[in-house]
Amino acid sequence: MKIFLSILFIISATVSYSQATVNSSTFGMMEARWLGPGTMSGRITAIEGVAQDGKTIYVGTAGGGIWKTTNAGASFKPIFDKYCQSIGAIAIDPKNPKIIYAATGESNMRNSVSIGDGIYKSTDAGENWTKLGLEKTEHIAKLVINPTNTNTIYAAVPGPLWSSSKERGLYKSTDGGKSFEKILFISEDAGCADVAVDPQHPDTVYASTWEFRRKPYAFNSGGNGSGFWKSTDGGKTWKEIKNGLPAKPFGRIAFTVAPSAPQNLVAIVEANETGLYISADGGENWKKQSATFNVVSRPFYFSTIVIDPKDPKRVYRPALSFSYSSDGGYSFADASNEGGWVHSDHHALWINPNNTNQLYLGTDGGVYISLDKGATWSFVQSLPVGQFYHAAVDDRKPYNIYGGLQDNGSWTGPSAASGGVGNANWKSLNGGDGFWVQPDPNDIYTAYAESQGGNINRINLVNNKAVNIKPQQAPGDDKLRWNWNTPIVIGAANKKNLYMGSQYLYKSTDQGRNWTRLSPDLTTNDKKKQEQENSGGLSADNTSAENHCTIFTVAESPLDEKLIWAGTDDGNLQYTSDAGKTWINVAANYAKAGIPSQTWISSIEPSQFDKRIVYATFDNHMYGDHKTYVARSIDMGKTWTLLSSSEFTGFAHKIKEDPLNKDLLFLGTEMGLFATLDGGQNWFRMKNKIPEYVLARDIQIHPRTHDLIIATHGRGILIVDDISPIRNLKKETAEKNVVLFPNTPITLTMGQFGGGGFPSTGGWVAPNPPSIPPIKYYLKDRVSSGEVKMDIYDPAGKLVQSIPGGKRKGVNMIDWNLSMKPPKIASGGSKLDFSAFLAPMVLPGDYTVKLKVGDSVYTSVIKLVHDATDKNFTLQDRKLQYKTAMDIYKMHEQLAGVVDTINARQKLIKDNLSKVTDSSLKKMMIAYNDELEKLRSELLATKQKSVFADEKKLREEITEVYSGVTGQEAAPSNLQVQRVTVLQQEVKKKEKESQQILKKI
Amino acid sequence: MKRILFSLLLVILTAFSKAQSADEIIANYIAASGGTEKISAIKTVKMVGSLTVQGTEVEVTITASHGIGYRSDIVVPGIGEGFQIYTPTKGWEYLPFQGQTSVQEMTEEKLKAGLPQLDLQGQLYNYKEKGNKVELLGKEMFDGMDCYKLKVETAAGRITTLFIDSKTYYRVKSVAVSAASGQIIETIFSNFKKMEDGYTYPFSQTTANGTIEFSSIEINKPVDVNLFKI
Repeated sequence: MKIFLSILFIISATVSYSQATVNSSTFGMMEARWLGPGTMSGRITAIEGVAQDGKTIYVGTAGGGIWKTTNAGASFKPIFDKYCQSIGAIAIDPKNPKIIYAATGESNMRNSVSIGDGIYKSTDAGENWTKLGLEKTEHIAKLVINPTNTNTIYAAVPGPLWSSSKERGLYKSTDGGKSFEKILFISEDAGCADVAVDPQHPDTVYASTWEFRRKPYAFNSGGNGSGFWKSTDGGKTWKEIKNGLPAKPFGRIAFTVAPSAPQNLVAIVEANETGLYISADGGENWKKQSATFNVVSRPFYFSTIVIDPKDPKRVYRPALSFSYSSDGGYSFADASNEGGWVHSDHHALWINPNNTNQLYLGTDGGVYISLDKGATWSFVQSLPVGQFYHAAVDDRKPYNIYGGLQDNGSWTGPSAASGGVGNANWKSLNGGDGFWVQPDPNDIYTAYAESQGGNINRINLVNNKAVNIKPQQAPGDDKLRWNWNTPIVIGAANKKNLYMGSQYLYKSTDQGRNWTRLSPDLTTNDKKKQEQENSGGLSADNTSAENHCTIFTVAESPLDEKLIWAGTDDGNLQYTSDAGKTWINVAANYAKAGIPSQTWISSIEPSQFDKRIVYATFDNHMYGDHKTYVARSIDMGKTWTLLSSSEFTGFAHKIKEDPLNKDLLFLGTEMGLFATLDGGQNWFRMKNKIPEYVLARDIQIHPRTHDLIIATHGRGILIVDDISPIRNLKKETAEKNVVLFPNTPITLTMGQFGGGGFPSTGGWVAPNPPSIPPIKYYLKDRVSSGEVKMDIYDPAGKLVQSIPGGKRKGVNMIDWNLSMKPPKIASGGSKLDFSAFLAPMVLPGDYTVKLKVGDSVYTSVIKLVHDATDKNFTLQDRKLQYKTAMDIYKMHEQLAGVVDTINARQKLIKDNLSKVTDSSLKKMMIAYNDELEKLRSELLATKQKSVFADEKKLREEITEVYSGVTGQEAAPSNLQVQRVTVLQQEVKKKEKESQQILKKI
Repeated sequence: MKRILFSLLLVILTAFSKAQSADEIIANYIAASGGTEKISAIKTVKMVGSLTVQGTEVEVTITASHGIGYRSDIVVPGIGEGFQIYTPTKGWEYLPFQGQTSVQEMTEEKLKAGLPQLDLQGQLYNYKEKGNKVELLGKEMFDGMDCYKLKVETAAGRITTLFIDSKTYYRVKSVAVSAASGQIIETIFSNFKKMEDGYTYPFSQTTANGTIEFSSIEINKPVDVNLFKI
């Protein structure tokens, strides 16, 4: 019996727990705005198009999922937002283009590359996806489908970048992806980098294997595991390709088979002497060709080489720049910049097989289209897949966002703009790779931005001039070590403090003109981790991306400027409570909580509520450990509590404490954004138009607007406007069925951002936040039965507006334009008249809101106020405007009454005419109808057949002055007021005329 | 006692773990909508409602006869009155708000895309006989509801993804790609009411254009077939 009871208890506990859960659906209609921008896009990793139509194209990105266009690139939509955002390869079934395979985990193995979680398949052109497997492969470079038997698929798997793995190798499926078999395996340290199938003899398969490994402080490309292979039996047996190739060891080999003459192959073989090789006999023998710098540059990063589908002589090499050859690879030319600069660093190319002039190129800065075989290019401006590292905000109205992007410099853009935030609203501040950008809170004309390796500039935001303010090595100091992504931080307690860290922490209080070193070397200073000059393997590669033993994060306590925390990339977490005189390392303490040592301290968040409380995130992925580590200490770092959740995925980048609710925390990881409302006990994944596995690198909460700003590494900037309803959602509130949130006073306005004149002519345009604060309410559950409606009453108790409300679970928002219900206008005209959708704005005062949910009513009061600071529209002006607008409003309704009567009479005639047999009566009825029609045609436009032929009758005359007076935030002009009187007399006159005609019968 | 407990436990565990097949979900959906008998008997539907834009009501009337015709009439104050008619062989539309100045015959593509509306019993009822294919894509949360996701492909090749609430078995959302524009059309259904005649219908339909609230839905009332002619 006891067992029985405990089973019952477990069941009921599960049920009651689920009812009280707060999760992403609690946010309801509070959805993220995708700010973009599209002016600089992000790294593109795969492009595949549908050969059958040439205009349906799938674009895979490094951190923004998959985007699909059905119009050859005029517009794109994301189709992979519920899954891993790092895309390695895409393949379309050549026989059935609705079947799409997506391999996650890109294989452009730079320091910041993200991992995947396997291969997915869609059978409906990307609408729905199913995961097929290979979950632990982390990186997949290519998918190739056998063109004859499309159930046969090959997947080239380089495998994990940071650790050894058995998952590497070449895989084959013969059942459309249901199962995969590993058909080529070299070792746990060498995977498969490329694969190609001979389209005419699909059992002939070529593959290259690649030995490659990254460590946090160096990488190596090349080794005995790298090789070039051929199979003629569909991968059962393999023969190594050697003849004519350079001496081993090899690094990465990129190669391609000419689709129209598949005995021809070209390959770029990374070796001690990297070169371009050509084979004309199916890979049996190779010849080295002279190649340009671009053709053989950076083989670990540029692994694309493509031959035209029809012309075996036309070879394309997208790499640092874009090269093409018309003679089979013997000589190369570079693309021109005539159509605009083509972003460097190329990783994907799709050629429309039915129009081989048409090319789509994927770069580190987005997609380009060529219509002349790659000679010139135009940029696709509508892909908001920028890879931000960090974001900061200022306090202007509307506020601006500042941030740095992978290979796309540093930028600033507004959170709102007239007509929406478009590409043109963004301004470039600094070049190179961008990371931290800080606006100076004390000087609206200044911001600080950097490029890789701590090259910081002070930037004049008016003329865009830059001054280099990088701290220099002082006498007696060690050589300075700057992280690729060097922290630039403004003090949270004292906003005059500007911090920057190499292995030492620096502070400036005069905008970087003078710096003070605040610390000794805060890192482990492990010399074995400082040999970056030897990094790269076969091809030397030292771009500061592997700099190590550096400070990676800095945070000043918002409660005390002398309390400063610093975290390093080699596991040290230190603080000073005396502005740098003494430092305490708490690395050993966090390790006791189960966090590995040597992690990157990816963010530190000193609490705004208690000096002793601090949060931190720890990133151990560079040691092959992708777990989420986030912890809190309540005793200055002496002891740490690991905050954990089964929801967490991805290594942690950023923890953010809400400035007003200490229990509201946000966590950004490599695979998702998470939130907790109970101080970290229960976490949920944020959705609400936030990609579920978004790479959330940085999080800000705007202190004035309460917006949540997310800097993503692949989806640009995302903003959830005004999170205060969630912030104020107590557990007991969340358990109520309906909560109508209190509103702060609303300033009467027709909108804050203006109309924007012409609509956007293209590119990415983000919607603005609500121009007028919406009325918000909370529903515990979705309302499935019953209506939701909001009635608004003026201070006199008169119903002025009635708006249907959302029924979503969580926070709902009703947009009220602060106007009353529009007038009833004369019906039956032949001209479009929008007066029926235009109403005068109400006057200031306390308005009662009655929210009806099913049979229940919830009431609150909203205070509407006049903006007394607006000298162009005084309260007196407003009252005159309202009175005049209402006079015309009544006129419209008066005219509608007259026309209704005429319409009714005409209907009566029409309905009865056929029943009348007496011909004289019939004649009389027709004549009477004509008389009515004559009058009607004077009251409103009845003849106009086209919007371009202007017919203006009384209704239209009224509308002209009505829309003028009602649609402006200004007092009516003298002539507008006069015009009202004239029209009133006219309406009266016509009313009389109609009465006389109506009296006749 | 132990045995009873054990079998009880087994029953509970089975109930918790048992995954439903597409056909079971459809059976539950049909039951929640009124039952097989009721659904199979649907011959006509008339729905009257409105879409409110900042206080102005746009009137919508839908009249349909199973397999014969489907007509929607829209009255936009100050702008005009328009309609769309679908029959198995022909369709017409007159939408003055979109600049049309006379009645136009529908293109074959547009007509084909609208034809599922003639099936008043819904794509899921007797789907096999109708030549529709149904695939259960699994479960997905929608707006706090744990939903079954069913992909329906009609005999004509039109694909719609339906979200069926696993608690009520109401169809709460449908997603389809517009054949004409290639854009995704999402329709959310709410305000479900069990009517006196035994049918349960959603009285609210929300699309990107707004929410239509129906004030009345009548089943099997006489419908004038002349409404489907021009």
